Amino acid sequence: MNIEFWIFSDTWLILVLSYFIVTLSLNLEAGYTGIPNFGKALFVFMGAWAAQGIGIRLAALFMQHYDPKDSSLLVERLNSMLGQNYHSLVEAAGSTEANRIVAPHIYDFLFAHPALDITLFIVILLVTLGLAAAMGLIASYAALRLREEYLAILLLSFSELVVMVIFNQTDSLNGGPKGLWAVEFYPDNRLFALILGAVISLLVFIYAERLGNSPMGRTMRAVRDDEVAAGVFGRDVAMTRLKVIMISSMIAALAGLVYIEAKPSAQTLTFNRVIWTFFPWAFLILGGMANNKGAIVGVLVFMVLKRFVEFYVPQMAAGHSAAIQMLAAYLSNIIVGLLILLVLYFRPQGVLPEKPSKTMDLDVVLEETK
Amino acid sequence: MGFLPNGTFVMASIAYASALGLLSMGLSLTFVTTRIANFAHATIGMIGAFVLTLLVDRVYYTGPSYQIFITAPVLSFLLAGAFAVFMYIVIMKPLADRGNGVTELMIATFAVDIILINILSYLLNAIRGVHIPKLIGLNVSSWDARIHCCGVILQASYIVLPIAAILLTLAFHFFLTKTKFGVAMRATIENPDLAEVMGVNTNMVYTVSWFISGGLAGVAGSLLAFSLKDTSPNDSALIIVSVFAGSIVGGLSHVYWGLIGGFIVGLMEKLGTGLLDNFYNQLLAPALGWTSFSMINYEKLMSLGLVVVILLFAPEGLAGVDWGKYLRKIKRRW
Repeated sequence: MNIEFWIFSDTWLILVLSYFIVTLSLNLEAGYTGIPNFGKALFVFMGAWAAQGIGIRLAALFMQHYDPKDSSLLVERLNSMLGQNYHSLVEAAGSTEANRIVAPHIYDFLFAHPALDITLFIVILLVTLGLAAAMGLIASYAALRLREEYLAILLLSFSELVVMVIFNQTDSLNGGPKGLWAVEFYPDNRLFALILGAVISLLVFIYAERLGNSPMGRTMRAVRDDEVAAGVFGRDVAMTRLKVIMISSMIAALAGLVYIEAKPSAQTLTFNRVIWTFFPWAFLILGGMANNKGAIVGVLVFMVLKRFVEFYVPQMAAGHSAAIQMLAAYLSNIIVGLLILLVLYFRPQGVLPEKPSKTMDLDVVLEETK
Repeated sequence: MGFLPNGTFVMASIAYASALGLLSMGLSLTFVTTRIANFAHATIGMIGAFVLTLLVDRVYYTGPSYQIFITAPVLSFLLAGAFAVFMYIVIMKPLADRGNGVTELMIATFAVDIILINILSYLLNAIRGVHIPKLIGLNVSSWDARIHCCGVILQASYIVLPIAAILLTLAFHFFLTKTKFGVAMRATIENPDLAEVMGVNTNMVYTVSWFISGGLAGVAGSLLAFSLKDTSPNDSALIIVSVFAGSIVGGLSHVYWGLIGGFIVGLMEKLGTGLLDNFYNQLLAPALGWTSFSMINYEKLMSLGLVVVILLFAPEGLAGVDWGKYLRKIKRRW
């Protein structure tokens, strides 16, 4: 599938959808609960890893189990071609050299067996959610009871070190810096990612709206506004924070899954802190904290602006000197940074400010409790 | 004792630890005075690396010289300090005055970080004439003078960095205790409201603290650049993690403990990982028949582990530990 309208393409649209999901999840943390999560990239990466390093191996395992003849043939051909000594298809799929050769064969096998394909998708969805929740617990546990600066620093450290040091330098986990090819579930992977992204962002939006207006949502706001008061009224501040971090990590990981489906060959350093931590923060601050519609507006406004800058600035710079042409490459990040500072100065509450949470009408409550 | 590291490695670790100590001290200083956790601190330090790269590229391109150990730190101190003051007065203070909370201020420093990284990368490439928007640094370590001493070959920066750290800390201590302004600064740290009542210009104190913080970062960055593989402003993305680790180990709100924390984190990262690596690969793995693997690439994980342990067991950092109690216990034992 190939959508092109004006300067916007389907890859842009999928990126916007994954940013919707990440920003809505960040809104649950930063907007509603006041958790400064500077490690969003790590949780997004967990979704990508579930489809890359774990997903492709699981798919290879399926193929090996249900189609042993073809897979042993494939491994034999690989061994003679690359001069390696792979014992199984899983080993070949997880190695940096053979992954790119094996992956298309595994895709074909999955497309030919729809039942296995759907099972695998559900398994990977569960793996994504489980990994992200576990990572959320590990990365935040030590600082849950401390001031928010500590939480911010700890989450940032975890995100930087897990993605940039562990995954970038260990070939066995996710193919090192180049990354393994992710498993694809449908021949037209971008259409699949588009539908998946649209469905997930709609569900997440509905969930976030409902959560924000529930008793849990009011507890979250209480924790954000005054944790001492929330504690006095019997709310467990650390537990609330932990719950919110785990839930929104799971949501953020779904965004990683959507993105990696559209771009199965993404490198490990694609999940750096500028693209997956800083940009969602920028969207949220522009759109307005603790307002889900604001998060959506923020993503849209920012992404459209960014696309214009990326598309037109190089064109404008084309005729000028080399130094100016080079500036164009760095300009979009500089503009995003400046925009954040300007929004924080002139409109700290964002485009759409926070609204009081919806509660039930008093008459209705009295009627029902009678 | 074949697993002990050699003298060059020990000196390199001490130099790296001194640089981290300076960076952590500056970070703690601005946190103590203005309550801003500055995520751009390591990138301010990279201004120093930028100055050094330019000096090597334009002035000292003929070869190693000792003059650079005076010019680079001094210029870096002034330039990085000036940027930190600019950042405080033009960006952070107006934002804080408009009632932005802790989280908003942190994200603002994050924004400054990204702007500064991109500007430095652009300038570095534009001035050096590499017209590809790719972060190619300059391997400046070959412009570092080599010293043959006691049977080992050392880079001169390995010796200059600890000396600079000691001198700067002594100068800072002298400034805090012996000058009137330093006393005013200590008063402001203890109780800003009372200090203001007593006629201290707290705003001036904050500005000076940002200048000192940026300056220390600049010196550390300029001398550390000699031992980075390829000097690029993007290096700050990982350095900032160690700097924060140092500050947290020190307790985040004590300046001198920040220095000690940074030093400990630096030693743990380099020397600790080196010792562990040698111990595992040369003693444990051959004896038990395990496969050997190199841990040197994972040295940054040391600081993360240290931070987690500190946050779990002593959230106030080393500064919050009641050392007197332990000292008395030891004395009683003896």
